[in-house]
Amino acid sequence: MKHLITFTKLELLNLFGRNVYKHVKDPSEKKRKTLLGVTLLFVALVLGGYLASGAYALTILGARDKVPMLYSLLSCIFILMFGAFKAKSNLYREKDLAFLASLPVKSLPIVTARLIRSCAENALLNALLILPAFLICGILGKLGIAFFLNLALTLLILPILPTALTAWFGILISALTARNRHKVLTETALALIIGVGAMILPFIFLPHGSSGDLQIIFSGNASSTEVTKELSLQVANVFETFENSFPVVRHWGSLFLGENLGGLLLYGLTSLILIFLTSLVIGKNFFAISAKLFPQTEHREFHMTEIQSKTILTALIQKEARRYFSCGIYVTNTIFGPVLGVIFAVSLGFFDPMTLFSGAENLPVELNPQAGIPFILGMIFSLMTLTASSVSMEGKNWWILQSLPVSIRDVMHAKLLFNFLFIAPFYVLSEIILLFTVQADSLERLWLLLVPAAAILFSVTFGLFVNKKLPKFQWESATEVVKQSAATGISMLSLFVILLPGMGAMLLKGNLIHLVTLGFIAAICAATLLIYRKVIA
Amino acid sequence: MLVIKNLEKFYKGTAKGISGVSLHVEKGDVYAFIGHNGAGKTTLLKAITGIHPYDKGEVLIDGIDVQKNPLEVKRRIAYVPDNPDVYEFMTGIQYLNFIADVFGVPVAERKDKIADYAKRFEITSSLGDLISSYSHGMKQKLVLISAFLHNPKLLIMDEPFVGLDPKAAFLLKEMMREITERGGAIFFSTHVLDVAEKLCNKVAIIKEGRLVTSGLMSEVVKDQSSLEAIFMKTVKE
Repeated sequence: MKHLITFTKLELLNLFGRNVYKHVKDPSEKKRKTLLGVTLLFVALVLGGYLASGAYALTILGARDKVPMLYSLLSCIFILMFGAFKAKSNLYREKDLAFLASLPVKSLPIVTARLIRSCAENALLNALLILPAFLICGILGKLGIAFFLNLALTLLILPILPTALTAWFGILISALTARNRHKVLTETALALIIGVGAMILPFIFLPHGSSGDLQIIFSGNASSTEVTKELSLQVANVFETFENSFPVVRHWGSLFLGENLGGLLLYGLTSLILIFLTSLVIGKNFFAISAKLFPQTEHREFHMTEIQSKTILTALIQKEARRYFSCGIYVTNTIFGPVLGVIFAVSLGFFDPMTLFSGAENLPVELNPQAGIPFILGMIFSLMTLTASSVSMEGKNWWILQSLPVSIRDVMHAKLLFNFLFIAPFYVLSEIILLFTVQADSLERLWLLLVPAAAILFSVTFGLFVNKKLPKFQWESATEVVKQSAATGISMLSLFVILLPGMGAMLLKGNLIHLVTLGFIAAICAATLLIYRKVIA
Repeated sequence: MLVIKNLEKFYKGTAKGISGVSLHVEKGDVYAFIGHNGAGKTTLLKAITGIHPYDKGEVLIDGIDVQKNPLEVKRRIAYVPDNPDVYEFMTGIQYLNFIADVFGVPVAERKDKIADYAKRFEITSSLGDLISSYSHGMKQKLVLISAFLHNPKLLIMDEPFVGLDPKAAFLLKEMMREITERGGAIFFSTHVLDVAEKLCNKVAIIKEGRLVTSGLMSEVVKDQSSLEAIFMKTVKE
């Protein structure tokens, strides 16, 4: 128990970087961190506002009792999504392995402390996702103290089960990776199978129903009461279809209504038992799996063979490639976009793009999904760029480039070019596939080619720009850089916001589509040029 | 070779840094730079190599200003940090090749040098292994070899003897002499005072960011029994 407390304190000491923030002395660094914190708080408030608005709308539409279930489910899905792939690096860390192995401590307190840290991180995400909606639900429904007591317990209990499940993902990936010689390749393949599977499964298992007749709503002749009545019916219909398909979710969701405190406590107890069992399982083989995950490489006698010289830029690009392919979390986190791009291109051969917007046929404006395909593809390719973390990935090796006679221009060019070289095969492949899966005239074909290319150029340059402005050189695990750094978060969010307006082309007709698309490409290219100049400066 | 004039560098928000540092390293010098922990040794070395910008003063190497023309300066020097944090995702030979590519060392020359230095430091057989599998001492040897690959005119080292076995330390001293014999110079920080006294012709002592003594070793030690005695006296004052 003493060790568990000590290691839990250690894990929680710098949670969300608070210890570093507290002790940082450089005013500009402190200012940067404060600004970042304020920005993240603002984003959290905006997100909270959206979630609260959604809960308000559902309450008005008579689905108040569904709000806790919906938002709890949403929270669990988010925790699973964000946690599944970082679970391995959260549990098994190379940096302090030798140090921990040398201590007179069993592995159980170490593992439990790491799971507690994951729970604490997920508890914040959970609070962010459910608190505004639950408060709206409770206040508008004038629910009693039992509901708010239930909410307090839900904030603590809800993240435990998904955290345990993500840990099992971690165990699965770690156990399979540890057995394999090609660890990065295995990890990437597993992550892709799980990730792509998680995206496809909802299409297979989620109930598909008509969203009803929206004409009455958009006709302009309906009174607000009629509109509310029609929407309420449709919302009730959606929930009923969903709950009939997954009755267990209905029972699970009822735990958060404040009417079954005993049930919630029992659920909490079950979650605690499961996470404790998870701790036991991981703890049992912790050092054995760690040793296999981070082996000292086998020694092979070296004999000097032919040596080739390269230009500085080629040497730097090669260095970028070696770093990239040596880090599993870096590869798995950034390869999704390009792979999904190819899958999207293939999928267009099997379904009409209109199915992406099912129900949109009843909207008052005519949608032209064909015009949106280049933009969707561009966004898929652009959301997770390598460059958004490539400066931070230099970490404690940054001194090498700083002390060598290489210009910042060459360093940045190498990072940009490696990202382009990496994405190029996926882009070319998806373009070739699109030739067969999408019927388009010559101009539409040109946009299919140019819009994703422009989006890739922009996103790669923008990612590097953000990372150059917000580098994070002090890190223990690459997860901190690739998944949790400000640069990757801001880059992804900004790219989404910047590229999303292009989708507006779907709302247009005739030549206006071509004009807007051309304008989008021109604007994106101009922005890329401006940012590029800043990047290489 | 290296001229430092009134150099000032402070870390924002702290009183830590260096102030009013001036010294002159000439061709053939082996210049020891000593001081207690946190005195500002690494700060000065990083400012000279262009890793850290400085606030005031001037650093000239071969008459070239480090802040104004950093690339030209970096082509003439080599830097060995206090901690050999090198690319662990590379093998030893890949790292050395990378450094040789950056400095444009011709293939034949780099091959000969790598073979020679690796043999002397006894790491030839490990050059094909990932650096992540190297011990601290092996990483240090690798960084030293990479520093010697392009015949630097000025070798700047931060505690280069830490982690080296006695044989490697002896080799390093020998290689340092080779550099000075062909007209180069060495400026390095160390805590090993007897090595500094035997190996160096010049010495500078830094205390709380300010140089308290600098000049020829023979003049600095002159009336005292040893460099250690001078250092202890200086630190206590």
